Amino acid sequence: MVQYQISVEEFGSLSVYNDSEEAVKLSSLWQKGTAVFVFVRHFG
Amino acid sequence: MCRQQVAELAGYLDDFLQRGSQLVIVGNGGSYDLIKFRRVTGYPGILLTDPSLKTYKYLKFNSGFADVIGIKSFTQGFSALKAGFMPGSLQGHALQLGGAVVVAPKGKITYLYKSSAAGDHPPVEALLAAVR
Repeated sequence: MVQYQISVEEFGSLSVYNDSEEAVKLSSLWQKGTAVFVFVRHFG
Repeated sequence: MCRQQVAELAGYLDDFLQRGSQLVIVGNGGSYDLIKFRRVTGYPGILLTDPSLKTYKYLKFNSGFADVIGIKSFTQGFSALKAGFMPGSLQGHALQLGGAVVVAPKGKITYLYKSSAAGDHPPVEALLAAVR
């Protein structure tokens, strides 16, 4: 089994923003189901 | 090309939903860039941004000139152009690469991918496999 050296608690405490500039805590996105985060290089 | 990547992912939204998961796209431009990016990609799902790059840095995604510029980035860029995706003006950090992470409800990480060059994206098949 692959072990990832990431603290989910720390990662989940980070916030990102929606198009209304409201903060969204990452952990809120995996409460109801698996969250598949894809981080893009830029918006171009 | 990021807009090609997200436009393609838009076609798999139902596949992720059917597996009890949700796709979350995170970029690093301003909040105002999200609306335009949604329009050009046609992506209707969750779209967020992290201008501070804290999430990218926490996940130790690659960054810097040597990581962004490489043979792979040129071949991937050429493929995107052939597919009809013209590059837009850059909104975000030019030397930051992306990746993917999949987190299950109890906080279990089932997949992590770090792009190795511009145009190197996590395979959709691997993302879907991570939520099965």
